[in-house]
Amino acid sequence: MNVPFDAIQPGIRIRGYVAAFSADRYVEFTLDTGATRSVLRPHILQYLGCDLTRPISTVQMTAATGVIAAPVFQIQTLHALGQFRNNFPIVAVDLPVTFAADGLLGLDFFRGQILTLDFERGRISLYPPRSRWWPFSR
Amino acid sequence: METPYLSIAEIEAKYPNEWVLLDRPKVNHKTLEVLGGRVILHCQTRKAFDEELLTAPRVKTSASVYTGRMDLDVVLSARL
Repeated sequence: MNVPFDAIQPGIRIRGYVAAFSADRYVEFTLDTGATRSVLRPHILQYLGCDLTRPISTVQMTAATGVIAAPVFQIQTLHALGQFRNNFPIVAVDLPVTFAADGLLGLDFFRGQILTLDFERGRISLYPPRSRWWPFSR
Repeated sequence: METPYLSIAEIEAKYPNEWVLLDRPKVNHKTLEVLGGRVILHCQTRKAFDEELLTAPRVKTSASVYTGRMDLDVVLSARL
């Protein structure tokens, strides 16, 4: 699947869908290929019914401010760029308030897939490896 | 009282550069673009949005939308 993005903006915004605990939410991610794990703001997980005191694990997160332990929660479904991930672990991190997104879509969502960014045309695509390798029609 | 359904164009015009929480959003199920919904919360800052989320009415299906542009250059990368 390939969808348009605004190549002029500083970041690449990707619409996503999260089903977790007792509710579901359409959210706004920023693509971050420098993040090994995908992230959601804790307030969103809490709104969806997550008990923030009961993570399934924690990870060490290296950020600008140093190394912190961040809780990981398992969400039922994460849908973005035409692909679904079930029982997907997501890290709860308070992103800067000036950051215009609900979370980060990190490498764990993309591994094993073909991710293509076309900044000239403003298109992003994500396909499984067996599909045709060049996703944009000429 | 239930708020009326607004299209995303109406929401962007009414709440520019704000974080908006929508109840029962209408969505393009292919691209997941939000087409409209019923506004249950809107805030000018993300900090206020996150704080008010805690007391906002709980709905089954919602959507969060930022009606502005990503103005700041962001260097944000988390090695987890």
